[in-house]
Amino acid sequence: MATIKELSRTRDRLVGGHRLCAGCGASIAVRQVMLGAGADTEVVTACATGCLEVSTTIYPYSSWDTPFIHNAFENAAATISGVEASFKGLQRAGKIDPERKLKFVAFGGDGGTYDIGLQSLSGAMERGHNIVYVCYDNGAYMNTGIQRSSATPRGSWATTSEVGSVQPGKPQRRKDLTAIMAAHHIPYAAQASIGYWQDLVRKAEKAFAVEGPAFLNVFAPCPRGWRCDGAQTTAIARLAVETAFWPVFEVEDGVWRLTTPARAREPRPVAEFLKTQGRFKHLFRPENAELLEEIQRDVDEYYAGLKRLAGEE
Amino acid sequence: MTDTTPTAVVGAAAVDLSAVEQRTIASTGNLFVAEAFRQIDPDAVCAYPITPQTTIVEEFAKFVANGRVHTEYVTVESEHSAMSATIGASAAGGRAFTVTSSQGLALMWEELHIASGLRLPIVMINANRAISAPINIHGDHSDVMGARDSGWIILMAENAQEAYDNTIIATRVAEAARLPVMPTLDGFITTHSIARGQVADDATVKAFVGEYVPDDSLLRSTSPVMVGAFANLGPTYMKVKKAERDAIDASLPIIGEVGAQWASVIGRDYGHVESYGVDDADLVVVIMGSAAGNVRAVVRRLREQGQRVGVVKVRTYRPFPAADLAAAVSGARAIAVLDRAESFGAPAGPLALDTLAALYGAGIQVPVRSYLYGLGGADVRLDLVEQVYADLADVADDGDGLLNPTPRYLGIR
Amino acid sequence: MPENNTGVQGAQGASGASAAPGARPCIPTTTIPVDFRDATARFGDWDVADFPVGMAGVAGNSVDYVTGGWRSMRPVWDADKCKHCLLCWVNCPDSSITVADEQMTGIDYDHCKGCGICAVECRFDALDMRPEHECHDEPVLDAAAEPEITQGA
Repeated sequence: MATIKELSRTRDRLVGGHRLCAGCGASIAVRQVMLGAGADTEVVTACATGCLEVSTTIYPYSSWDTPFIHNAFENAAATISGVEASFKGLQRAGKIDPERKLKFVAFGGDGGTYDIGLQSLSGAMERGHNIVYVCYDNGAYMNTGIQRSSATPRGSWATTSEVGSVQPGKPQRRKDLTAIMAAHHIPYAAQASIGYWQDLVRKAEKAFAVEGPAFLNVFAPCPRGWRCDGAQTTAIARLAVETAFWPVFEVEDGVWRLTTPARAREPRPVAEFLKTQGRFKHLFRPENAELLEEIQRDVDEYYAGLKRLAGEE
Repeated sequence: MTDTTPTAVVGAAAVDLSAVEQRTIASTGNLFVAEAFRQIDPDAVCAYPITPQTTIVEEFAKFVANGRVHTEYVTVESEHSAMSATIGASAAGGRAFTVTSSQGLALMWEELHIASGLRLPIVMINANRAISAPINIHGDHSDVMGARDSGWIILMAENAQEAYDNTIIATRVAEAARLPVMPTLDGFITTHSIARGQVADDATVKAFVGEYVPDDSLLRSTSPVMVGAFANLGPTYMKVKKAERDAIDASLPIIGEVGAQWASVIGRDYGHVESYGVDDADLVVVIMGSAAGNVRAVVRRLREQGQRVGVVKVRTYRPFPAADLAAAVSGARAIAVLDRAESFGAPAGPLALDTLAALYGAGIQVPVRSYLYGLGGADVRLDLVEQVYADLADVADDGDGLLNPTPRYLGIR
Repeated sequence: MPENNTGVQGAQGASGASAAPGARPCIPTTTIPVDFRDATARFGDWDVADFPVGMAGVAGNSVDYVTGGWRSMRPVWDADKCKHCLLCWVNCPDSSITVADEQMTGIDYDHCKGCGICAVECRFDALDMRPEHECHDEPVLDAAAEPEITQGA
């Protein structure tokens, strides 16, 4: 992997002047992922409707210093697969230099990826297109006002999984999308966090280097939706890894590997992560003590399961 | 920074007329279309199967497997992804085609508007089929009517020959008008029946459609482009839609021009509307698609009995050729518009509504009757068509108001 | 002259081979004017005809749009304490840490929104968040200049 100094020579593919919130995790995720493409690589970008897309493409401005396409909410993967298909067809027709190498990347939030975009993503991964799909997971449909998604953690407040007298936030556990992607037998699927940029960039480098589909699920805090301090975005993303709330791992040609940083080898109690955000504050009321324990158990079991898959018993 | 005018971009096709060869084949409408696809050899086809278009995508798959096309063929997992991927492929600068029908067309509805809003020259064949519910796989126009406001150019084929010709014409029209084009053919009746028709030689088709020269493609190596931006609050959206309206209006002469060029190559005329027996006709039927042939058969029979009747077939449906239609029916004393789709809740069927607007615009005020026929592939018996002319005869003489409020269902009590 | 901008070979060479008289040239064209970035300054006055076809745009021109006015806190950089570890650079949501030759050179105050992540991540106390109005010679907001809010039409 390139050093941070070497990486700093890569011109930003996401430039300033976008309208994402101060402290937005999604923009950090994009900047770090794009570093993994390498300085001299031509990249074509697609993006699903969502915070990232609306804030970076308010006409006549674009914050993308690459060719860019936005189509709709659920089809970033299908759209980029069409771009890639045309590239192949045009090369075969002799209209594009056969030596020209392009990388095709699609970004989508958890809304446009886990839920409405799942079919289109699954299809693109199954067909084996030479694309990288990056999900910036902030755990809700943020752009439309913090509604729950299947990535919203259990017990989290959201505007459509409210906290009230008979319900303490979202009842369901979040879906394990990275495992679903690995089950497509793609060459590379990985889970990363902007709290550990080195692990993320290394994974992005692998994703871009792969011939075939690659999937990155990137933990990207949303200060607005999570009710937390925007200055702590990176720190909270780190804490997610250090409490095993968001384990970091990769599945490379079917081989599972945890990439847990040294500091996170002994996970801290998940409550340390939860208490940094207002969306979880109700979990610390006495009546929700049992739910808090269940959440810790979910985290422990999931992490134990990952260790088994990774042969780390 | 202006959109180029139609006459500037529809240059002559580079066809050597002395080398044109046509051969007559007997095949299904779908296979005629598949053959046109093969000859055009697009850069990408991203498609999903649905009855009754399946034999197109299957035949094309054989071309791909045998290396007869250079096309990158993407077997997507749904029609929504079919149009999504086709949009990506077209924005990338490739010639991107697809095919669908009915539920598939409905599933990709938001993408139709995106394709036209992004002004992409996509060609999509639609096998016209009934829209659920109830589910019915046979031919009618209810699917295509759901797309009539989407900004797509829509061409209605009567038969396999027209389906073949329209596909080739559509390729150049789309690229000249910077709008997506939907050539259609009726489900089962045209898609699956075997008909005789002529196909041109590969070199002629290739020369006619020429090379696609994209504006602002994603894959160009300099000056990267942004496609699909957010038109924030203010008049931006409306200005861009006005540009789209201007473009589709300007496409009518483009369609005529390209159609005329193809006609000079293969000897089959293209008319936005095609009239039969209207010169002296009192009673005229307006119709689209395969049943036009049924009506022509009845016109011939009634004319032999001395009745002055005629039929106008609309071939270019969007943009609607209002002036041409009004001119074709200008002598009529009563007009029946036969729709193979409903516009539920509207005063008349969809084609009838367009016709009424065209008549009103031309100052033609005669009784108009709206009929629904052949829904879900129901038979279009000749006696039903004769009944229409009989109704018109009553109406023309006595006058029952200009527009009877309820569309009448032919053959259903 | 439109650029031959697909890196195209063969039939679509710059000579425009295979074009029949009157046919479109085979050189890719654009509907985006060369002065697009300048034209964005008067975007509100654009007519229908001023829009590139399909509302296409260019890349990376949001740098022309100032988001620095969002700040209520500003990171102030102490170059002497800075070790050029570039952790602030890799974690900035707004690409607002400027770097050249592997060294931090400063902060892009046109785009920095003052989120404070850089100051939190810096391990060398080289970035300090200060109220924005303390970083100007004059107060940014002058209470006397505030327009009076009136009710009604």
